[in-house]
Amino acid sequence: MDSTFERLKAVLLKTYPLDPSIVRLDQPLDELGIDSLGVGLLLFDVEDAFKIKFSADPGPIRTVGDVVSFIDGVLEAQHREAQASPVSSLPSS
Amino acid sequence: MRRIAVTGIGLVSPLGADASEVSAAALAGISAIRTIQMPFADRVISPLAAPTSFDGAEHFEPAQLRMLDRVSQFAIVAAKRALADSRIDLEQWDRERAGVFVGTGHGASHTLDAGYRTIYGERSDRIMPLTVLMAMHNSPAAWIGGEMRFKGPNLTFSTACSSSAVAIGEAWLRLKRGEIDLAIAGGAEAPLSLGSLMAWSAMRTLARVDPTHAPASCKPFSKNRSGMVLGEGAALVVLEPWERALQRGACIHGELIGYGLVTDTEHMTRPSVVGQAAAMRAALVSATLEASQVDAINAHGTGTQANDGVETAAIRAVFGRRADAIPVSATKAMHGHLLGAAGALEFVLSLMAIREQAAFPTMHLDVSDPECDLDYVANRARRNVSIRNMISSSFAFGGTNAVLVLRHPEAA
Repeated sequence: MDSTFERLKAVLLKTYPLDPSIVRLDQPLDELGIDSLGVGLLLFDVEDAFKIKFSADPGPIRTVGDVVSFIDGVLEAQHREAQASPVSSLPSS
Repeated sequence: MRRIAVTGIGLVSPLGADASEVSAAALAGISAIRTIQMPFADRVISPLAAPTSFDGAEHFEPAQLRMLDRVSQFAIVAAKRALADSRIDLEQWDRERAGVFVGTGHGASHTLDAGYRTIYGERSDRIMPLTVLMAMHNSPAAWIGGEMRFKGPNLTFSTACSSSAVAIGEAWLRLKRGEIDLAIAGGAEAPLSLGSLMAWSAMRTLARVDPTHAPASCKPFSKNRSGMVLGEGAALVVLEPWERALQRGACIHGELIGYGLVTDTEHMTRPSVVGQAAAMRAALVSATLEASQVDAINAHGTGTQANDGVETAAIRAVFGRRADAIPVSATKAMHGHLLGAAGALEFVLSLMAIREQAAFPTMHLDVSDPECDLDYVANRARRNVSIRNMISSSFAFGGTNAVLVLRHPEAA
C-alpha cells in the first residue's frame, strides 16, 4: 500500500499542475501555490481520498509534511478507536 | 465636475466575447436563445435560455477554478478583457483611487444550488468548504479587485434587473466628483441553474417556446409576446476622466453623460408608467439634456406583457410627440435577459449603436400591439441613423429604475 505521502501527492497532482519531483515533505504549501484557502480545499479532497473525516482543528499547516502528519494522526486515532470498539466506528464515506 | 469617458469594454455574452462581434451579431438579428440542453430541462416549464459558450477551464487553473462560481468566472474574464481593451498601463495609476463596481441579481446561483443539492438532495454534510466565499454576493467584485489590485471602493449592487446599470451609474458619480480616477464597472449573472430557472418559471414571467422557431421565443413589444428568456454573461467597462483618456491617447468608446435613479414604490413587480418615466426624466436632468436631444433608446423591453406596454407609455410621457421619431431597440430578443448584467450589456450595445450609427433591431416583433406603438426598429437593423445622444433603460423588480445616458465620443 502506498504511504500517506504518496497518496497525498496523488491528491495534490490531481488538482495542481505541479512537477512531481518538487513535491517533498519539507515543501512549503504556499510555494506550491496552495494558500490558506487552498489548504481548506486540500483537506476536503484528502477526506475523500483517505475516507476519513477531520473533526479536529488541524492547527498550523505549512508544509506537505504537516498534512501528512495530520492525516497520520487522524488515521491512528481511528485505528485505536476501531480496536477499542470493533463494530462501532469506521466512518461512512 | 469631470467628464467621463468609456475606454474599455469586456464581455462574456450569449452573442459573443468581443464588442464588435456582439454588435455584428445584433445588427444581423441573430438570436442566441435556444432550448436548454441540460439534464433537468424536462422539469422547467419554459426550457429556454441564452447561454454563453464560455468554459471556465479555458481561463483558470483547476485550483482557482474550484474557488469560483460561474458568475465570478464571467466577471473576472470580462474585467480582464475590459482592461486589455482600455490599453491602460496600471503602473501609471494610483490604485487607491481605482474602484470596482459590480452588479449582480442572483449572484452565485450554481454554488448555492450545488450546496442545497448536497445537503437536502443527497443528505450529505459535505458541502464545499469555500461555499461561503463562492456564494457571497460581492465575490465577483472582490475577485476583480484582487486580480487588478484596485484598492479604492469595491462595491456590489444588487437591485435585480437594474443592478449593473446602477453599478455603472454609481461609478460614474464617484469619478465625476473626483473621488476616484479609474473604475471597472458593470455586471455579471449566471442564472442558468435548475434553482433559478425553476424560480423564474414559478413567477410565470418566462416566454413560451415558439413552436416554429425556438430562437424567436422572446418577442418584445409584439402583441403575441409571452415573457422573457434568461441569459447569462458579464459586461464590464473601464471608466476614466475624459482629459486623462485624451492625454494617454485612449480609444474612447463614448461618453457617459447622465444617470437617473428613481425608485418605483407602487408595487414590487408591476411596473408603472410614472416610475419608469421618472427615471428617464432624472437621467435627462442629470445629463443636462432636453428630451428633444435624445436620438435613440435601448429599451428595457423584456418581452413581458407587463413591461412593454408600460414602457411604451413611459417613453411617450417623457418624449411626447418626439417619441415617434426615436428608434427604440429591445435587444433582449437576441441575447436574453441577463438580469443583473443586463443593464451593462445593453449599455455596451448602446455604445456600439453610437459607434455604428445604427439602430439594433427588435427581433421577433411579429404582431403589432396597439399598446406598443413606437418605432421599435422591427426585425431589421437600421443603418445611417444619426445618434449623438442615447439612453439605455433598466427597470427592476423591487422598483429600482436606472437609466444611463451616453454621448458619441466626437459630439462634445
